[in-house]
Amino acid sequence: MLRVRDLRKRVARKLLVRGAMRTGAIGVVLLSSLGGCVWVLDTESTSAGESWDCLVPLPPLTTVSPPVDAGRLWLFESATLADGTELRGAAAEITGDPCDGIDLVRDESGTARSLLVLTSAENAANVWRTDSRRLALAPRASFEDAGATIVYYDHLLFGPGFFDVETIGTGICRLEGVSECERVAGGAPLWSEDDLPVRSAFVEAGFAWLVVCRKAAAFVEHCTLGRVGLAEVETPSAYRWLNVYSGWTEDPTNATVVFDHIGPVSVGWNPYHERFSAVTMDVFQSRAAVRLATSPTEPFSRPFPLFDAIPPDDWFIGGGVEHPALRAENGRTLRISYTTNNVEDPGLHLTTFRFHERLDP
Amino acid sequence: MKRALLVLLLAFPAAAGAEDTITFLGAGREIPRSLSASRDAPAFAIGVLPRATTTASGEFALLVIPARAFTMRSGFYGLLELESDSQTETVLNGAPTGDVRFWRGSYGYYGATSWTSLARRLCDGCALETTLMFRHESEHYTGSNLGDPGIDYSDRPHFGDAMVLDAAIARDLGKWLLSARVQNGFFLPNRSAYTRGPGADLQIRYRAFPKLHLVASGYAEYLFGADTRGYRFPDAYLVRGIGGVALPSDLGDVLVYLSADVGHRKGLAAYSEEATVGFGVRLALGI
Repeated sequence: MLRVRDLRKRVARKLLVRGAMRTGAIGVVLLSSLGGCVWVLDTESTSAGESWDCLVPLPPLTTVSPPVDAGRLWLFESATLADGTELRGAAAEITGDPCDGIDLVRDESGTARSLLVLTSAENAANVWRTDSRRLALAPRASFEDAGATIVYYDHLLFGPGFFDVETIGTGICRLEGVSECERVAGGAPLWSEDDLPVRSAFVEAGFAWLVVCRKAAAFVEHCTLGRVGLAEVETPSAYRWLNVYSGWTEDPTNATVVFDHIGPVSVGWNPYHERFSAVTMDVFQSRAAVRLATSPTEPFSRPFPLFDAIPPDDWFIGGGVEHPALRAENGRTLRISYTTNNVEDPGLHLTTFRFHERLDP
Repeated sequence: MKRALLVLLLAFPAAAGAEDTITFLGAGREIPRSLSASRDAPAFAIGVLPRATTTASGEFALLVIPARAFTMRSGFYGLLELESDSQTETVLNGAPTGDVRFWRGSYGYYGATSWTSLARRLCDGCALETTLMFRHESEHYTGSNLGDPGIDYSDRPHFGDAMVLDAAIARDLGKWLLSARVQNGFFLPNRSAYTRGPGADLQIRYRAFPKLHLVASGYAEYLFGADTRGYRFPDAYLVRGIGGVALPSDLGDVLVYLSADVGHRKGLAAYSEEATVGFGVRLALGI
């Protein structure tokens, strides 16, 4: 005969089980109707180091295009001055920390001046043009040799539309201090049209090395590696292009692709990593990254993300060049400039990036 | 073989004359982990909601050596898990549909000691067990079958290799079975994105009826990120609970459960910190 206590226990057990199953059934029905529930709380990430960003103070009411590194000089394709005029080939001499501010190179009257200057004939031609196009010069890459800075620059025809830009050739000029960049060959292009889309230049083992990125299709650019003896920089026929199978070839279209990238590339020796580094800026993700190689002729590693730049509100991030003259700790700390039109923080930025430790590709 | 047996008998004199009690395939632990709310629990499972997650996992003792005061087990743990990134929309062929984007595989070798004599002295119906396991896990994703370019997940954390030490206690109170476990993972340097990984587990089973039990289980872990391969990996945590109905048998349980968790996902999705509620079915062997 069941005692009352046993009966109570049985009833309680049944009620507990029924209650649990009902709750479970309701839960399953609710979850099924909601497709389960997921609330994303956060998304982590990791990086090869720490970064901090500054907005580079410029002279009042002045804006600049992304700088091209020329050692202790930053060259700008264009600068818009306080009076609204546009100055092509402007430059800033970097004597301290750019985060404290930079100023454009000026003449004795205090007016900002260009270091990449059109010849008189070119200026006159611009005046007489009737097709609404204008010739301008745009710095692309540089390297230092024997106290001078060798600058590769493009001859560009702008207009009539905002996006109408045609490259009609590439030339070389020599820069010493803050004097005008002396254009070789009388200022004439040494390469025609888009034959030398140079992105980066550096010196290694007695050669000047170039990273050249050619457009293959919309938003596709293949980067190849070239080099020339330092005494033959001004001789286009002396340039050779790396083909990993046949060696150095005269034919740039027969060069091996070292990596694909759209946008700036900064290649050079990094003593901290004891490797050659290629710093890039992804124009779609606004993300800086670095690839490493034991030698410029060896394959570069996969990209290691460095930092996310402040993204633009529209169009693309500008620049993304590394400034080797501003490195610290033997290349453990890098400084990379870029421009953005993000409404919260528009302008020229300089990001300092410090690696946690040596990268192991 | 005979030499090995002799060595074992000499090592465990209490087992002398008990050669027939040494077994070569048995339940993985004295205190099983198969009902744990951990994502690494050794059980077969289908997570239906919120994402399709299919797990094939088990822990088996390959050698069981009973002695007077303790029982030693040496065995193998394996896990293979497929996890979708998309949320479940339908059930097809009895399984939830999903993109099956991520998967991870793990194996481990362990030695467990069940301190039977000490547990008996501790309390009636008590069990006490300590385990040391070497565990390896790697994280992967499902690439395109159509030749599309791969995705770079090189900056994601990997579990890698770890020595996991755990201690568990259980008490059988007739209708109620309670068990608790604490563990710590010591990750091998430069072979993992983590350094240490403490965790704790609590399970409650109510034997309401002979063929129907109510089960609740809670689990928490914290993984400390490491500096390795040039990266500084972030910490990760997970707090998870499951509750449901277990249908017991001689082989184990069929568990139908609701789940709730907060913390980081597993595998290559580990950077995503989420709170979820879900539903699934598990086959927990060896209860």
